[in-house]
Amino acid sequence: MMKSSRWALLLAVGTVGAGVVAGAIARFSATGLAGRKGAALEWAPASTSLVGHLDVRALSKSPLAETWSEAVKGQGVTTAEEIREATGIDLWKDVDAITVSITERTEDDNRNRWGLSVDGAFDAEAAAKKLVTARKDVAVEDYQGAKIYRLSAASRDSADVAMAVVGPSTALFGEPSYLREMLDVASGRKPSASGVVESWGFGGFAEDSFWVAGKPSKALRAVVGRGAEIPSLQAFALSGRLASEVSLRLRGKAADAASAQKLADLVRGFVALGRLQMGPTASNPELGTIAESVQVELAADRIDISLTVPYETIRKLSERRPKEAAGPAER
Amino acid sequence: VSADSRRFVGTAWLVAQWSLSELLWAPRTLAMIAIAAAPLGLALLYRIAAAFRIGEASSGYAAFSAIVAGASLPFVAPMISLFYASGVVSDDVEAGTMPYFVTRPSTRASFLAGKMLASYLMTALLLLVSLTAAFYVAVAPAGWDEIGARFGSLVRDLWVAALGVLAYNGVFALTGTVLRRPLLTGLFFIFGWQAVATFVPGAIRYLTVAHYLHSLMPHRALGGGIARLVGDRSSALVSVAALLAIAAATHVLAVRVFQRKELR
Repeated sequence: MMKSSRWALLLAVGTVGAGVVAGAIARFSATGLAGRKGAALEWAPASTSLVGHLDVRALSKSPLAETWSEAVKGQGVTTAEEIREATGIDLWKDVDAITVSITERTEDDNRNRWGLSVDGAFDAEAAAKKLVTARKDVAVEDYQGAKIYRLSAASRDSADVAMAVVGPSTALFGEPSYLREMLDVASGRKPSASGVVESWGFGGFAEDSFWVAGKPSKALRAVVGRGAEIPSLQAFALSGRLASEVSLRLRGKAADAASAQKLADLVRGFVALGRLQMGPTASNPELGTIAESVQVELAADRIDISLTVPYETIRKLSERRPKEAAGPAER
Repeated sequence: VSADSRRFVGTAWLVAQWSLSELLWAPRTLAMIAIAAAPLGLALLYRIAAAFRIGEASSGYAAFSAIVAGASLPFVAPMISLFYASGVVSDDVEAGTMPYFVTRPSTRASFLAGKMLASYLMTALLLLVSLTAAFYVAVAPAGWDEIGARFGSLVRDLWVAALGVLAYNGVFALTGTVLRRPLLTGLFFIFGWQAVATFVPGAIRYLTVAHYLHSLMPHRALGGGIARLVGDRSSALVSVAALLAIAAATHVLAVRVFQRKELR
């Protein structure tokens, strides 16, 4: 073979190889499932107004897991239990990561539109079979090459729920029409929420164990809105890392720089109040400890609040809540 | 491994290297590069449209999906394969060089195997380079995270394309071995038979390569609508097995026909 032919072939093979290697690095450079921001948003439609991601594996390995299980004991996390009963998937044991996306109700569409994508170490096909066997009211339909299992609403107050198996250990749950939209996103027929989250001005969730980003709901806007002469919040992102302590970061995008300044002043006011709680004689010393770690940064119309919370503080706060709830009855 | 097998493989590999060199610098390769560059051109058009906000907003990955499902696999892959694979015999017959090759101390089977390997490598390389470049042009501006998230799709596209081209290579090599004018038949296969049979309800779509490629594609821009119209896709296992079976059968048949063919 001529030297020039070899170079031409090497160039072609090198181009494909470089593309694959670069893609592999991009895929695996992020740490943990929560780091796969793009993958987390793989199913979320662009119509979403709130999207959140939880690295369940990171949570289960952290001291927070024990505190969490104690806190929810007896309270019943209805959706998680319903999913376990219907499919055999234990959200806290079999699942690596959960991404939830919600589209706010509009005046034209009064439905709750939501969807979950669940990745983990479970057999999604087996879960679907269990669902069909366990529930007689499951309607199965094909959509975009995937099977959608639709469960009728249990009562008049609840809505239909659907499930789709989209990978060996990936399942989608959600409101049926929203689930179809999620499949459209995965097939490339509709844009994902990736660009939307970027348009809100957020990203950099690579190291976070959990995060949620969105536009404030109507309820929140009523509190943090123009009407109350408090700066309007256009979008927000809350993210957290589970390391030796819990690091939280709350970012907000205000309507303008002046609004952001007012919002920052408001937060600083709350922080000052919290710091008054410091000391052993204070009624709520844990809040004082948290307030001490709060840092508020302001850049144009952006506000960035970061704080750290020791696991011990979270445990104390969660223990105190049931006591406070039981207090009046004891008296 | 017997001495005959080693001789067969050795000769086929020599023929493949020589044929690859010939194909690389053949005038038709310029035309093939132009065809292979079509997906890249479409990705660039998408980027320009997105920059100037022309048309409906969509994500880079959605554009890439549409390009792969609508252009790369249904048209670009079979077209390049047709122009290379259908010439494995006719090129040398038309040039009058065939008698020299078949009278050399090499078997006809090893000669054709080498020629088919060269045509496959040429087609696959052109298509895979084009797909990789189109992916990065369409998806990369959305960021590193988006590339990572869509990496699985790129890998699947690449191996599906490589497998599809293998099947097309066999089909068109067989056509080129059997027929004197294989190009017209090949064009009918792509734009006539496959284009129609894929959309017709019933079992007829199983007689196309395109059906199995649609079934394996991670993108459902076209396949989803078609699947709803004419029925389910085949499973991944069935599709891979069918494409491998088509490739094996057509390549072996081409060699068998070539061994018995009277060459002038």
